[in-house]
Amino acid sequence: MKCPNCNSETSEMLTRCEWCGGGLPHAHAQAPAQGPGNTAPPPQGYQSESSPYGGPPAGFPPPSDASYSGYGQGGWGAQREPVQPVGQPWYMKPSTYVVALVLVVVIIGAIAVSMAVKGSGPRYANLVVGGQPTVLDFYTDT
Amino acid sequence: MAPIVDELEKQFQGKVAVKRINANLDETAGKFGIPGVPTYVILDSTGKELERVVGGNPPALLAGFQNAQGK
Repeated sequence: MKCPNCNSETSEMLTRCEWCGGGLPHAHAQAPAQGPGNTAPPPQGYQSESSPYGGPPAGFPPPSDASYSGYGQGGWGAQREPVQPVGQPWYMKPSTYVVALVLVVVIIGAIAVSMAVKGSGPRYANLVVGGQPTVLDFYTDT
Repeated sequence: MAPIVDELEKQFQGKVAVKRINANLDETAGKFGIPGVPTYVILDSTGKELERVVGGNPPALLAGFQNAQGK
């Protein structure tokens, strides 16, 4: 079939012209599944396949993200910025669990040391008489 | 309280010792934070404080002697 944009011969199985990238009025093109993101109406100034640069393939909605710069500035999808990879959320990162584990170990260690110190207490071995338990009797002369 | 302490000392002889400390002359009272006299601080054989009895309380002092023996 001939591309309506560049008039070049291109395959019927394609939805975009293999030469100019323009959309093809294609009978075999299947519309994507209609989801919540595909129901938005086309933006102001949207042009269909009759655009010199072609529009989105038949059945495809126009891009709705901020990188959309309008048709006629390089063609469908030609000027779109690359998609930034989305990082893992904090609760999915292994480092989060490592930090949590370290914190737990530190807290448990601090509690253990605290209990050990509290349990030991001061010792007054110099006041013990004859190695026996000793009662210190504090008195005054008056 | 002095006669009672003497009696307990005889009763627990060889098991629990008694050390008399003049709170006005010995700095040990300051180390223990003695609030007043009479005060009895009961130590085990390693010198660790087990308990203390503040004031003239013969039953509590007897319980302290009994608790201290063997420790």
